[in-house]
Amino acid sequence: MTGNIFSEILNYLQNNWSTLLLLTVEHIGMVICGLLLALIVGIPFGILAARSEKAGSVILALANVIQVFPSLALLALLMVFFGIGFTSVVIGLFLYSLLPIIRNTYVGLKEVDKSITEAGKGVGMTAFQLLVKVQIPLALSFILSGIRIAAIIAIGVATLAPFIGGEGLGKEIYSGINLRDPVKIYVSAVLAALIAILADFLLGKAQKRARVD
Amino acid sequence: MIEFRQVDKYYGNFHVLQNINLTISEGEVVVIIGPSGSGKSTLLRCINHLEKISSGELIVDNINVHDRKTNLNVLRQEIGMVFQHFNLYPHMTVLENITLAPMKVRKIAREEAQKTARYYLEKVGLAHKADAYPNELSGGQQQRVAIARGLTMQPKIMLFDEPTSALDPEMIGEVLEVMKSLAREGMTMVVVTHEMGFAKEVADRVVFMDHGQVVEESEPKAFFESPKEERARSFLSRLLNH
Repeated sequence: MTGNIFSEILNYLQNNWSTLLLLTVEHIGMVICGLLLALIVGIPFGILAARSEKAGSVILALANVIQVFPSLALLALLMVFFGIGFTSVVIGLFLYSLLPIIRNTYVGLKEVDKSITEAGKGVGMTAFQLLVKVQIPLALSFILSGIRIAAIIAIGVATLAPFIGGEGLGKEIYSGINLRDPVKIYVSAVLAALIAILADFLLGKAQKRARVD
Repeated sequence: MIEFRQVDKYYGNFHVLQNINLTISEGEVVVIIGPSGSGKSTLLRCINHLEKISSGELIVDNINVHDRKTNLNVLRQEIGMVFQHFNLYPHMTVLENITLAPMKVRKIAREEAQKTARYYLEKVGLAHKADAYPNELSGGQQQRVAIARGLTMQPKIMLFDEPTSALDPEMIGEVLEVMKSLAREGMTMVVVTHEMGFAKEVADRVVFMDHGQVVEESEPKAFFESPKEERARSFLSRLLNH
């Protein structure tokens, strides 16, 4: 029986590899768009949060609120506002990626030893120069760890995209459920998991490289 | 060069600096000593505005440090500072550590900044460590790099905040040697330290602080041989008995 499923899976892969490849690319594309938006918005907010206690508590609380929304419910809500398809999915992924990126930027910057920045401050470097040249490089490993968490969450959430008219590997899972076709489900689920593992591995490596002892 | 006029500073209710009047002229080497918590480091850190004073006036290089209109970054360029824990940038090589401020603050071209950096590295005896990272160096070497980093900005004043307190005993000498040669070359230096030998040898003046006050100011010979104030006497006798 297991041998049977094995050959069925191989067969399926042979016949559908081009569709699967397209879905994989779409899946990764949605995740990257969402993550990039989250980086553009999240890092400045993380910096702001680290600079001012007041702003920090508000920003982190808001990002937390977004995170507690169930993913399917959040996507459904977004669909109401932004319509069916790609845009809603990317906004959903963006929102889900915000918290880990903001929080890790915040924590990373807070972890930088104040006395190290003082050395720069003492010779007349501006706050911005210190941020770019000293604080962000020293916080980079934390920030990358935030991106790593965000990427893994986003790859998972992106499988829900077809519910609101998006593309990606979720489409194949969804159709597998409808057709009661376990092979379809196995293949697409394993592919989504592999993408997540790969992202985890690569970002983990980058994180290690960025670490400063 | 540096003038404190009736300077007071509070941390909340704690009166850290009490009515400080102190003048330091160009080329002078002043050593500040006193028990821990006496306000020595705070006094030093006011000079480049890493600490704010609560009242009084502080003039450094003809600039009123605590005037709102003062551009602090312009003032700070002229003041080098060496910290107890070196505070090197851990993600940068020695050369990058030294050239960062000259390039960013003084807008000096990389090549020239590196040339100056190498000159001062040579001076502190670490030319061969230009491409090393701080964590590959001993404490004494890190502190000498920190001194070279300060000097490369070609400051008018160098501040030293307990530069040898975090060092293993066998490394203190190498750092003091660098500081002594700097003093002989006429750099204006304000040094907070527990190294009495250094004070005796190179200081033009010793300032003794206790409980936020300048208790005694005198030449090192006079201070160590016959301190005028009772508090200074008991401080010195405690040092000798250890």
